[in-house]
Amino acid sequence: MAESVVIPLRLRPVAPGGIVIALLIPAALFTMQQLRSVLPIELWWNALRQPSPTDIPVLIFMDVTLPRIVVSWLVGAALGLSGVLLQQALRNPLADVTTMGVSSGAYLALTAATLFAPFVLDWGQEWVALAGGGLAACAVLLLSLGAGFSVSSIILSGLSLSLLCGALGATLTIMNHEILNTLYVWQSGSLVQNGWSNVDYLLPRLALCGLAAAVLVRPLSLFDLDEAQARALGAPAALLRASGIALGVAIGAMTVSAAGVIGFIGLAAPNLARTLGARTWAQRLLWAPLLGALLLWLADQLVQRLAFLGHQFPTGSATALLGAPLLLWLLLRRREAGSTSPAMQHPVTYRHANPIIVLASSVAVFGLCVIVALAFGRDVDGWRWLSFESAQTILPWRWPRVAAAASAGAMLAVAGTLLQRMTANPMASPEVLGVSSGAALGVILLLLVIPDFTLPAMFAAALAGGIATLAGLVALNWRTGFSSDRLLLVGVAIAGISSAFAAVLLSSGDPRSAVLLAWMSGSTFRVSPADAITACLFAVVALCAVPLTARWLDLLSVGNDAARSLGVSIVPSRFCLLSTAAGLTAMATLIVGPLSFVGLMAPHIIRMLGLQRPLQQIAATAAVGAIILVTADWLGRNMLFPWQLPAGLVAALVGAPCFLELMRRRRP
Amino acid sequence: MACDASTFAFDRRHCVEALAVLTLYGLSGRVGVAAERLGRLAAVDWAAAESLLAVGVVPLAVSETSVFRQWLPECVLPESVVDLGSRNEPNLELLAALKPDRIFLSNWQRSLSASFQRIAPTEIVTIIDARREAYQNARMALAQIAERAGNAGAAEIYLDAFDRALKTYTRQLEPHAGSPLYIGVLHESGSQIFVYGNGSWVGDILNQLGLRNALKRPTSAFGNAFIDIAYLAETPGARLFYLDQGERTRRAERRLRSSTLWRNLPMTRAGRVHRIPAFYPLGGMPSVWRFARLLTQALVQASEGAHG
Repeated sequence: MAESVVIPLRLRPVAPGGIVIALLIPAALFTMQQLRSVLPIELWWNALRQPSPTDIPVLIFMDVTLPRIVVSWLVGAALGLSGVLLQQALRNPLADVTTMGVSSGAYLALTAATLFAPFVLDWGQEWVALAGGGLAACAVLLLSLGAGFSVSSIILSGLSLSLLCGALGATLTIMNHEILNTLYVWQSGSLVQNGWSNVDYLLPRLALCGLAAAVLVRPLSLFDLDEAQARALGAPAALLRASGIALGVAIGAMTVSAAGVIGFIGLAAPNLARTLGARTWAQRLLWAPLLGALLLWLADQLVQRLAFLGHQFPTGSATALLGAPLLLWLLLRRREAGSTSPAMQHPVTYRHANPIIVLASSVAVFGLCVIVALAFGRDVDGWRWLSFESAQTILPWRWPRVAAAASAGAMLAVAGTLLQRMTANPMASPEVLGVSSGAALGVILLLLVIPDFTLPAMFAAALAGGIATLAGLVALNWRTGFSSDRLLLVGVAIAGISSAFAAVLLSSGDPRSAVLLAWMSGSTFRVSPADAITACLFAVVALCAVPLTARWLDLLSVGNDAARSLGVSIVPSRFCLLSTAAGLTAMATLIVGPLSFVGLMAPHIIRMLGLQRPLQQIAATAAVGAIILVTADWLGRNMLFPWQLPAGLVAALVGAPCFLELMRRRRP
Repeated sequence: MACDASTFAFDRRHCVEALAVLTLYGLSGRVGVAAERLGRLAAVDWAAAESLLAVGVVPLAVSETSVFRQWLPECVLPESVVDLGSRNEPNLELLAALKPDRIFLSNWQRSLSASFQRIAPTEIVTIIDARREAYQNARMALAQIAERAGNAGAAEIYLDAFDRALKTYTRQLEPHAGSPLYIGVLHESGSQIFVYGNGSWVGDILNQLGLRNALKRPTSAFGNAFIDIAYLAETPGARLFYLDQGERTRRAERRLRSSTLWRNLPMTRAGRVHRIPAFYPLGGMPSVWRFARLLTQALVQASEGAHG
């Protein structure tokens, strides 16, 4: 069963009171100001007592402004409650509706219903969201059952599932991008109200869930102890867990249905409560919803003061933008030693008797894939191999995409291997580290500033974003020596900022948003021959250079102390490996966008095939990464001809389920 | 909520008139010759595609032909036109194999022009940009396309016909001169609405017709603003025309019907809210014409309904 994840905290005897007041005062001031701008203060009492249905300012006051404030409290409290329940029940400080895939499951269900069965939305949008979120949570739990619901297995499954749902959602929107605006407004979480229906919907349900949580106070407090101790006390751990999780998921899905995806509150509020000194679960259960409500209230008030891109900034994006730095700050306040928790060690499961055969066959399959991808495909008349004449017209368009996909796949796979070995952490990947998101963020910021973007400018921006992320990661982790869970948390925070910015742009009704979406889903469409050659050269150089780090990789994966005793200086070696991985990721992101599922997938496939030595592992992983993306690109170009699906997206669509299945099978 | 009867018959008649003008023109032989000489024209943007059709040239290939047929019903796109797939990522292998002589793209697709130039000379068609009125851009785009297609005369005839039609519409709308209008798309949440304003030709055409755009909020680079329903009360006496986008619009309508605020907006109480058939707000002259026609008809019908 789950290993105990001890989060060492320097608890200070500070009641959350201070920060509550610090959040409350500005929120209240902004609210007063806003209410007074809608309706003069002397008319408030009258408006509340006998609202006149024809007086427009009174109507706006009563039906738009007030319900929005109340909904921000309710949704914030709900997210805080859901987060604290999930974190306690799973003994997982990273758990929340977004990291567990609940939000993206609910969002995908809503998107699919909008497109294929709109009538379902009429009789119960919340049930659609609940079904989607619930299914996602069940899938995540099933997938991490074998690993005993460990922190890493749950977050790994949750993030993979989020990627899969996100990819499916993106496919649907690419194929129907005339309704993209509608879908993205939902995804970026809006608290705009028109009447009290959302309050009527949320209030009784939240009260009920709060009561249910209160019932769970005593039983779930056992999870404050070590799991073994908890079981020794005779607690029916599994049942308690299941009820805590079910409650958390239901509350999360409820908020998605009412307000769209509002990130980070569920993660931030309980962690904030804990950091501020809420030691026990009962204290956190009280403080997390309160802090959640305050956080969202303040965020929503700030949002309404910003006119952005000629339209209102979605609240969900704002919470991600405000919440991510908050999380970073929390992480920085924690001064624990650079220890790797036991949950983070991945077991060496199986070693292949003859690794050279595995290596050779991966390279052979790669060669075959490239030949088919170049020479076979669809045109107006159907499936065919290229003839000598058609090759001259078609090949100039085809080879850069194949070459770029192959190099990007190899680079991401190697980056993933480096990260996983370096952190000894199976959930490390360029995606989780946040480097791909950082590169994407660079491009998104460029789009906000410059109306027309050119490829070189995009390249420069992505590189700058990737490098800035790397610098941030290094600066924030310098003192703790790149302790594994902290690195990942920082990565998650950066990914949150990036997707928040993307959502803002995508909800703005800007036609370029579709281009951005295509790039972010990993399309090789825009790769020029020069880009392809650059990518190939970069990949080849990197593949030659990475073996130089083989000794570090071998020793670091044993653990810091062991490595140190064998003469590896921990910080410089980690720094060097981190830079290499970040450089590879940034380059690959320029080519196929930030949806780097390959970086997570390829190293796992190779480890499951039984390659353990760093050198063999790196070479074979590069081949597998390239195979995945080349195949994905080929499928994307041909499946829906003349429409084209982005390679990164197809990789996630095909790869994520395979990967999830492999993970489920791999039981200790 | 006032519901217009389908405006299809009306559309059809006008479209037939416009086509008749062009067919007569074509019979004189000049369009035919031009099309033969410059025939292999591809349009990866719809504004260019519909402008080509308006000057009597059938493009070789167009992006997203099925959605084009659905959104621009008056521009008859023959079955022979090749579908290039997505407007954002048109199929370059397919386009290269078709060997076009010229490719038209929109200014928001400018970043693709290097790729297209490897296939054929490209021509950028600008409708919406910060420098000029979108309506003037649409006129110039039509002239530019007609010239490239070898018959500047067709554009002149089309624009003359449009100007005459616009005069007729303006006369029909004289009783409404100066009245404020919102043109928008309801969001299905029932809380917000996309409204077209400065920067899109929707706003320009309202001015041309002697009407006034009621939107006072700043617009995005593409000439629309995403506003709360409550802001619709900002301009007293305004009318709202929202585009009928099928199921989504039905859903928004159902949500709005249960909203106290919506039911009490001055425009709702006074029956000044109307549904009009959808049009393509980023399109060229044919879309401009369609919008002007739909709006005039809806407004005339609305006031007749009010008097009757």
